[in-house]
Amino acid sequence: MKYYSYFPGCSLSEGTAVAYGISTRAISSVLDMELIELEDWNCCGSTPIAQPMSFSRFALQLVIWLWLKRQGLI
Amino acid sequence: MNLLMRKIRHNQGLAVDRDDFLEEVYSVPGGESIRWCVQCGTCSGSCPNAAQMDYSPRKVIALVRSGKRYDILNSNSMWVCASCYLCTVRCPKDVKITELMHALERLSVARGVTNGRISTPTMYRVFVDSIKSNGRVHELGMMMKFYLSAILRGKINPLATIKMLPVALKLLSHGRMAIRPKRIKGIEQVKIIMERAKALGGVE
Repeated sequence: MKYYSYFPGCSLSEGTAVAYGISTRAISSVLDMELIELEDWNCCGSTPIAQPMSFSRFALQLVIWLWLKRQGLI
Repeated sequence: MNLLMRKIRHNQGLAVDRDDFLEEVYSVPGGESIRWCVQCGTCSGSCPNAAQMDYSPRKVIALVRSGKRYDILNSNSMWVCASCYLCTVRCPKDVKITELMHALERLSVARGVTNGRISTPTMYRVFVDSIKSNGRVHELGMMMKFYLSAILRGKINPLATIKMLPVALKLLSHGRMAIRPKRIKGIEQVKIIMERAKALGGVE
């Protein structure tokens, strides 16, 4: 069993791409992988925030990265 | 003579304007790369949305380089960009075209010059609002807010929203759209970080 840290993102967890999230989790157990979801993750900013608000994008992504570190996932 | 002087002064004014805009574009990440463009048109040929753009990606670079600030910032080109990066990966000269499009969006928002027909800036604003209130994007709430504010700004015909109703119902019935927003525990911190980032250089 291999462990992977997992950041689903807004669309994969509860949005329009939820089906991809479901299949990713379903296939992971078949492939002998365990996905460990980052707890209490925030939005990565995606395209809308990257464009008019360049600084906020880095801020949000940095928060996710620090969160991963704190939870010992990287 | 007088006319000639006026013409020279006019041209000087344009030249200053031009350098200023070019410098601004060069100074953003990836903006410098438009220097290497050879106008081959691979970007325009690869762009899936080029047909919807006022100026195709190749033309955007040509216009930026010739200092047509007004034409560029008023066009819809950068707002139609889907950020698929096909132009960037295919560019033989490694021009960061998608980054340029993002930079132009930032510049046009910062200057308060945006294309009147385009509702993308409104979309971006409600997206950011959704992150600020939930920490994650709540698509149903975001889209309702988007349509409301786009209608109020006269960017979308109210009747056009009715066409979206079947789509919304389908998404809801397939469980692809959450009705209630999921608020993260660290929302207060996210809010503070967003405000701080905005103060440090984000434009809204």
